[in-house]
Parts: sequence; structure tokens; C-alpha cells
Amino acid sequence: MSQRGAAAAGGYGGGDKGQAQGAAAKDVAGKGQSAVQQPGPAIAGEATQSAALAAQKITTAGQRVTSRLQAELPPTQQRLHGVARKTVTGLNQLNQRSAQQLAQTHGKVAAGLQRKEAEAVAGLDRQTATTRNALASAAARHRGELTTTTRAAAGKLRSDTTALAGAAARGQDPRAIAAALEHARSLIGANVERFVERITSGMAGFHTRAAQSSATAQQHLAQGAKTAQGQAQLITTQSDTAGQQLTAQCLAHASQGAGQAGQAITEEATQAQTRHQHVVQLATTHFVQATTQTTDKLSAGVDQATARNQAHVGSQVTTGMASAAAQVGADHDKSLLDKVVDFFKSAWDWVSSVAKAVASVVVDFLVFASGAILQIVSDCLGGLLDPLLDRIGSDEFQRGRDAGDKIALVLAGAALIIGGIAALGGGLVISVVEIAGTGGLAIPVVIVQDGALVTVGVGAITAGILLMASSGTPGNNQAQNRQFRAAVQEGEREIGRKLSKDEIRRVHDEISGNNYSYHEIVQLIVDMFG
Amino acid sequence: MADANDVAQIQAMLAPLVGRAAWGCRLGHGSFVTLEFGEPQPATGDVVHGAWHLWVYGCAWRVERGDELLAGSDDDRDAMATAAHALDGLELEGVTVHAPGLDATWRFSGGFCLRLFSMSALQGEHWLVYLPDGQVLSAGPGGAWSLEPAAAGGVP
Repeated sequence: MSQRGAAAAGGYGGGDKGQAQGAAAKDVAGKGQSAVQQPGPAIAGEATQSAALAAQKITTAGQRVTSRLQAELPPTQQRLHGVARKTVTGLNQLNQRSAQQLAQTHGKVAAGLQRKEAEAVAGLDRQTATTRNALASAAARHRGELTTTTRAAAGKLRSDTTALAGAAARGQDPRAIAAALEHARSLIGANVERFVERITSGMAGFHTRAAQSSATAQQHLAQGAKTAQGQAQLITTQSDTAGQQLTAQCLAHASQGAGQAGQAITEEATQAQTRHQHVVQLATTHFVQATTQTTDKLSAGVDQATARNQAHVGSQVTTGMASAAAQVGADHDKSLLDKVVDFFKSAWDWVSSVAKAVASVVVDFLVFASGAILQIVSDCLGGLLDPLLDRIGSDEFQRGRDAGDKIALVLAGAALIIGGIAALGGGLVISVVEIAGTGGLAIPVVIVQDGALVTVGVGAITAGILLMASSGTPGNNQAQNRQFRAAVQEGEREIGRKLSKDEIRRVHDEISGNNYSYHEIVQLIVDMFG
Repeated sequence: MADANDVAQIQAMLAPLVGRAAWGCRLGHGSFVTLEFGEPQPATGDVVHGAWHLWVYGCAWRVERGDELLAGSDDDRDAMATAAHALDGLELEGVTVHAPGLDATWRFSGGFCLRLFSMSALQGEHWLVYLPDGQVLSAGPGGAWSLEPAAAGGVP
């Protein structure tokens, strides 16, 4: 019985063989238990490897596209600025020439008016002198006639008086004396009457001639004034006509110049847009390829991780993200920026809660991306969100912020965020990820919702890049003010010193009305004072 | 925080502006507005400045004519530009600075008025006046003010 029992014990695993089989079974059981209890690390390793390969491809493609974009933009901007400068210079030259012509014409017209006026005055002077001479001559002639007549009458009176005195001395015949006296009296009376008559007649003639001369002078004066007035009107009309012709010529030249400049700028802009569209199409194609590869690999890894950890994270993922998106998207009264901030606050809570359950690579990726995106938004707002972001105690998040700070295509990032957030109203959670080491390359992000990965945003990226190419200053006045101050601070950091008030004023003079972007202002500061 | 003594000093510095006509009034970047007073100065760039130069910088502003509100710093650019140009050629009749925030009221002929409202108690200049002697009067941050050479730079 004991031997049978021992044999049976050997047949059912007793003895050396049985011990070996038991140990192997225990080992298998242990491995199986380990595999069942901790599947995450193995899957995380696969996902990490896949993500690294995809990120490397995206990095290469992104660097190439970014270089193309960066190489394309400055020459185009320089050409456009060059055309604008030439246009302004041409219009200024035209304006100066027109002003010179007008000044010359006005000078000629003024000189002509002065000459005509001088001629009219000289003519009037001559007529006045002639009249004055005629009057003086007439007066002299009458004075001479009167003098001659008076002298003749006085001589006759003297001879008659002498004759009377002789007769009286002789005293021979009182009747003859009386007759002689009567004759002398009559002679004197006749001479006096004739004298008075001559004087009266002479004075009347003098007055008549003076009146005639005066009337003639007045007539000449009126005629001269009328002639001068007519000449002045003629000159005024000619001056006005010349001025109108010059103005019309200036307007025509200005219009022609503006048309040519506008056409040139339009052609340049069209060419630049065509080149940019080509680059954008290329970038979009690369984005799509990279995104597809990334999404496929990440989705495979995360699907597996999510499925295997569904007991831990499934409900949290669904509830957390849906709640965050629904809560933020439902608040229609908030601005787009507020929605961005609220979304990332909620998303951060979700990411933190899920971080304990999902493979770390996925969580780190999302945390990194959150930091990068929020820093882009904060930079766009002049560092507005920096105090808030400083409070988040995650190294990965802070590294993401550093990367976001270095993103060259900030406006594209902001536009992409806006495009992504616009979809919040539809209940779909969208975000954008800046890939580490790509110098600012952004791709559409994968967001876990109901355990699945969703890839979105290629269209938004395209729209964002187009926005970046066309937009400069932000629309809000206060935002533009903050943008200027932030750009000045950034420029001061880049050149290593503070700008003086004079220098800041010169920067403002340069950018006013030119729709400069944040980076263009910074670059301008470096160019001017670096 | 500015007090009555600060206000008196600032207004004394701005007193020579009274009676002068504003020119070159224009809307700059964002809601910045600049006004020139006095003789034109040799230009260092494309823009000619006056011996006195007011730069409405980080503060809000509004232009009024009597009881009429013409435009403010949150209106669209056309309205802001029109309001700025409306001050062109007007004679400055007085400047009143208000403690403690250094708000200011610039009164012009024709019943026009430019009101400046400081928006921050902690950071940034509200408005600047470049003076003929090369100094810059800066209102802000908050209730603080300073007078410094316009050409003075420094280490950040």
C-alpha cells in the first residue's frame, strides 16, 4: 500500500520529474500572473517606440517645411515693401514736380499781373500829365492874353490922361477941355468895359476848356481802368485754367501711378500667395502623412492600453473629457479666449486624473502639448497667462511651455487653436500639439474620447497657415497695445539692453499703419538697434 | 500714488503748451494716439515731430466735443482716426491732471476735449509727453510719474 502509494505519488508529480514539472508550472503561472497584473509597461514601450519614430519623421518634414516657409516670407515681404517704397517715392516726386510747376505758373501769372498793372498805371500817369500840361498851358495862355490886354488898356489910359493934362495946361478952350474930358471918360469907360468883358470871356473859356479837359481825363481814366480790369480778368481766367489743367494732370498722374503701384503690388501678392499655397499644400500633405502615421501607431498602442486598462480609465476618460468639453462648449457667453483657458483647465484636471492609469508616454505627450499650446496663447497675449501657468507643478508641462516659447510660427499656432476651439461647440475635443525639437511644427492632436483616438485639424492647420500669412496685428485695440509693449520687451531681451523713449518712439513711427505682427516688430527692433 | 503736489508739478511742466495749436494728430498702432505741438523738429525718420509730442500710450481715451462723444479707444479704427484728426489745428486751452491715477483732460478750442483714463494701477506708462529740452514726462505706472532724458537707454 505504501509502495503503491509512493508510485502513485511519483506518477502524479512525485519524485524529481514531478518536482521539475511543478516548478515549471509555477513559473508559467507566475509569468501569466505578472502579465495579467501589469500589462502597461510592455505596451507603453511599444507605443513609445512608435511615437518616437513618427515624431522623428514629423520633425524632419516639419523642419523642411518650416525652412521653406521662413525662406519664402522675407523676400516676398521685402519685395512688397520695396514696391511700396518705390510707389511712395514716385508719388512724392510727382507731387514735388507738380508743386514746382504750379509755383512757376503762379510766379509767371503774378509777374504778368504786376507788369500789366504797371503799364496801366504808367498810362494813367501819362494821361494825367498830358491833361495837367494842357490845363497849365491854357491857363498860361489866358494869363498872357489878360496881361497884354491890361497893359494895352493901361497904356491907352496913360496917353489919354497925358493928352488931357496937356489940354488943361494949355487952357485955351474950356469947351474943348470939356469935350476932351468927355472923350477921355468915354475912352476909359470903353476900355474898362472891354477889359472886363475880355476878362469875363477869358475866364469862361478857361472854365470851358478846363471842364472839357477834366471830362476827357475822366474818360481816359475810366477807359484805362476798364482795360486794366479786363486784362486782370483775362489773366485770372488764364491762371485758373492753367491751375485746373495742372491739377487734372497731377490727378491723372497720381491715379496712373497708384494704379500701376496697385497692379504691381497685386501681382507680387498673387505670386507670393501662389508660392505660399504651394508650400502650404506641401506642408499639408506632409502633415497628413505624418499625422496618419502617428495616429495609426499611437492609436494602436493606446487602443491596446486603453482596452487592457479599461477597468481603470475607461469611465474616467469618457466622463472627464466629455464633461470638460460639454461644460466649456455650452457656455456661449464666454469669449473664445475664455473658452480656451477653461478648456485647458478642465483638460488639465482630466489629464492629471488619467495620468495614474494610462501609460506614461501618452500622458506626458498630452501634458507637454498642453504646456506648449498654453504658452503660445500666453505669448500671443503678451504673457497674460504666465502667472497662471507658473502654478502648474508638472515638469513635463513646464518643458512644454519652454518649447511653446520657442515656436516661431506663433500666429499659426494661435490660429490653429482658434480653429480647434471653434469645434468645441460640436462636442468634439480638439487641440494642437507642438512636436518637441521641430522648432515650432504643429500637428493636429489625438484626443481620447470614449476610448478611441480622433485625428482632426488638417483643414484647420491649412486655414491657420493662411491666416499666418495674411494677418499681422490682432484685431482688438488693447491687444495690439499689449502686443507692442510685449514686442518691445522681447526686442530689448534680444538686443540685450533697454530701449530709450526716443528709440521706442522711432519704432512706433516705423510700424504705425503698417499692420506689423509681433515678430515683425521684434525683428524691426533688432534690425534698428541690434 | 500721485497727490496734489505731483499734479501741480506736472501741470506746471505742461503749462507752456497752453495756447499752442495741435498738429500732426494721428492714430498709431492699436489705440495709440500722438499729437504734436510747437515748431517742427528735424526728422530722424519719416515722421516729423513737434518740439512737444504727446503720446497717448497705455491708457484708455475718449474725444468729446461739447456734449457729443466722438470716439474712444475701444471703437473701430476709422472712428478713432477721425476723432484724432478732429484735434488737428485746434488750440490747447488747458490741461488738467487728476490725482491719484494721473488721469488727464486736455481741453481744446471749439469745445473739443481729449480725456485720458489710466487703466492699470501697477504697470505700464499711461501717457508720455516729449519736451523740447530732450526730457520725457511719463505718467505711470499707477500713480507714479517720472522725468527722464528721452535718449536714456539702459540694461534690462
